[in-house]
Amino acid sequence: MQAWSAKSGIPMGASFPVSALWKLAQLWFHDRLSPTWRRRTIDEAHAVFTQAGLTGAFWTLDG
Amino acid sequence: MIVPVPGFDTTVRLAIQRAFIDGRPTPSVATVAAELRARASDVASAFDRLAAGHVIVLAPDTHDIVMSAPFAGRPTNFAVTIGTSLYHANCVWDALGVAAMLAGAGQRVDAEVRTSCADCGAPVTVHVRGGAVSADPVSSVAHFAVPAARWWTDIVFT
Repeated sequence: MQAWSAKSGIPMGASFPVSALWKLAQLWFHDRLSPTWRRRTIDEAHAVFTQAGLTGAFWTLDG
Repeated sequence: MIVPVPGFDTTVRLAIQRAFIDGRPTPSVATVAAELRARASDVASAFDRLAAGHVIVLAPDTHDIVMSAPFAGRPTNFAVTIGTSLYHANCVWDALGVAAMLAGAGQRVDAEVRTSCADCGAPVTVHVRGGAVSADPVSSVAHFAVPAARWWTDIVFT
C-alpha cells in the first residue's frame, strides 16, 4: 500500500477489511429507497462510521 | 438560498433511483418529467435542489447526472452484478451499497462486485452471498484516500 501511495502520489488514507466496508454499506444505504430517507446529520454519520468500526481523525467530518 | 420542495424532490429522487434499478439509461430531466408527467422546468429545479443538497451530482453547468449514490451515471470500474442486472457504482463503498440498498428494500440479494486493484490492476471481486461478504483475492482491503472532512471537496475524485 505504501509503495502504491509513493508511486501514485495519492496519500495513504484509511485501509480496512472488506467486512467493515460491507457493514458501512449496509448501515449507510439500507434505507435509501425509503420515501422518508434524508441525508444524515454529521452526528448520525459519525455514529454509522463508529458502528462499522471506523474511528479516528480520518473519519471525522467537519462541524 | 435554495428552498427544498420535500414531497416533489423525494418523488424525483426516487424516480432517478428507480431508473437505475430498472436498468434504464441514466435518467435525464426529460425522462423523469415524462415519467412523472411533470413540467421539465420543475424537474430541472428539483435536480438543482438535489445537487445542492449533495443527494445527486450533476456534471458542471448541466443537468446530466454523474452520481446518484450508490449509482454512477456513467460506466465505472465498479461493476455490480445482481442476477441478470448490471449496475455501475461510483466506488467500492457504493458498489456494496447497491446490494445493501436493494436488500434494505426487501429484495433477496446475492451480488458480485468486479473492480481492480488500484496498484497493480489485477482483478478484484467482492461477493455478497446470504448477507455475508468475501473477497477474491482474500488479501483484498478497502482503501479510502481522502479523509471524510474533504470528501465533498471533489466528490468525483473521492
